[in-house]
Amino acid sequence: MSGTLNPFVVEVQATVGGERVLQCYQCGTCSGSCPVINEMDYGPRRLMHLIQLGHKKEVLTSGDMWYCVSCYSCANRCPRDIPITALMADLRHMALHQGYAHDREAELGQAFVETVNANGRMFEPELMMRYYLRTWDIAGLIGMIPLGIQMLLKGKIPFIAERIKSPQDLDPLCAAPPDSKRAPMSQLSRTLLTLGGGGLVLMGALAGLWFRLNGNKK
Amino acid sequence: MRYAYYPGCSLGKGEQEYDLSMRAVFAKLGIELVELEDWNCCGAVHSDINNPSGAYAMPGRNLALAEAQGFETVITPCSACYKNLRQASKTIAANKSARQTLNASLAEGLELKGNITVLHPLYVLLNEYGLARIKEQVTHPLAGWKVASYYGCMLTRPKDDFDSTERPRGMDDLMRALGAEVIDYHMKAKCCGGALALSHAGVTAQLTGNVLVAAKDAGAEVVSLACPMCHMALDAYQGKAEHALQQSLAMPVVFFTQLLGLALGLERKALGLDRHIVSTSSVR
Repeated sequence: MSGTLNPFVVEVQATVGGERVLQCYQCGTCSGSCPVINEMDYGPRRLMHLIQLGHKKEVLTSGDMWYCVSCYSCANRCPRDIPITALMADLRHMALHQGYAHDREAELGQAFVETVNANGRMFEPELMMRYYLRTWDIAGLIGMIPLGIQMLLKGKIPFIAERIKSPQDLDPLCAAPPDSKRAPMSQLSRTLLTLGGGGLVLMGALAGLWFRLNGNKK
Repeated sequence: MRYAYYPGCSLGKGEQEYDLSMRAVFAKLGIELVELEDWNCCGAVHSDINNPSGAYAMPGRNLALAEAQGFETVITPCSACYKNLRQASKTIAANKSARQTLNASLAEGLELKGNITVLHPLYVLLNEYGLARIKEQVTHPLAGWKVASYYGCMLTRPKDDFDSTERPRGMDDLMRALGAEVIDYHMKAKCCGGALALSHAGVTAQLTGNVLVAAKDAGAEVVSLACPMCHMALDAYQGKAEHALQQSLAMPVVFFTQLLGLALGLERKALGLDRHIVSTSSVR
């Protein structure tokens, strides 16, 4: 039967979460349950339909799977037992590796994996630097500065990365992205990145202070 | 009682108050927690972005470590780590090829032969330790406190044995046992948007705001939760949420372990209550 199916349907059916995609009967419970439906291009129900119809490009270029917050509301309620949350992860994988992904969240995912791949554990300043170097999301970075200061003052920002004994053991478990310069960052470049980040935060603090003082004068 | 303890990355510096209060409370109750040696990141929602087996292989390494270090049960306070480790354990138990893939990817000398049980500390307290035993040890009841329990997503979803996915009640039961007045509100198991905190901060602010407004409107004076990502959203992003909703919230957001610690008579500082972004001075 699979010979009569659209190749994209076959491709999706071969993934962990996509096996039951043809079982969707469009009840819309998923989209009605989705907390980020307002941000999506289609929402899970229409995404299922587009997959069933084989509209690969529309599906993989959409931002929907990147806005998915993996809350399992849809999958939990789906009367057809489609693991939609897992399917969203499969669509992220497909979109990324076939060159369709363009959302900032895709860059965050790669920055996350690079950071964990290098240390074995998360190191937030490194994640931030990798993410902002990938996206040049200057507005986002500036928006983070006031919070960054508060967190700094509360001792919530680590300065030294916690590492497992041999991070290279994670290579087979958590592959670094194909476009990543795999050589793990040297301690020097890591320190420079952290210092750079700290400098930005301080500059932001001064700018914020300046704005606040000037605002109060009015 | 003795468990392997997997703190997870978020409990390092960012949400250290959860780690501090968890260890303090469990020590006070006489439950031994032994931190898993050389544990690695569970992968959050990104572990399978480059290879699909990462979803169970990343958490799977920690299960293999637990087995090698002589444990049958791992407890992990972060909802996301808990969901990842528990799902991985189930996948590996049910699926031989997943076990083979994991073991083939592990470093030499490490192998997962059996099955490891993964539990969340909230449900360890409720189901294995027992509310009655906790109640006996409460010296400072939270009488008159209006507490809204917030469960978020991954503590109760995907569906599991411990609580309802739609209307969970485990944390409410604990809060009642501590003497608090439990506030019911409709957003207790809705998403805080923490997953998008960096890439789409506006969405996080909006979703977090929706949760906090619902709790506040229902009369809550403090929100109790069990996940460091939720805490980051509801506490650290509360300012952004106020800005997004054009509404003042000033809602203290604390971990259930901190409230439990206060009820057991532990010091505020030992529970990390001075580390929050939104002031917790009303929580005393």
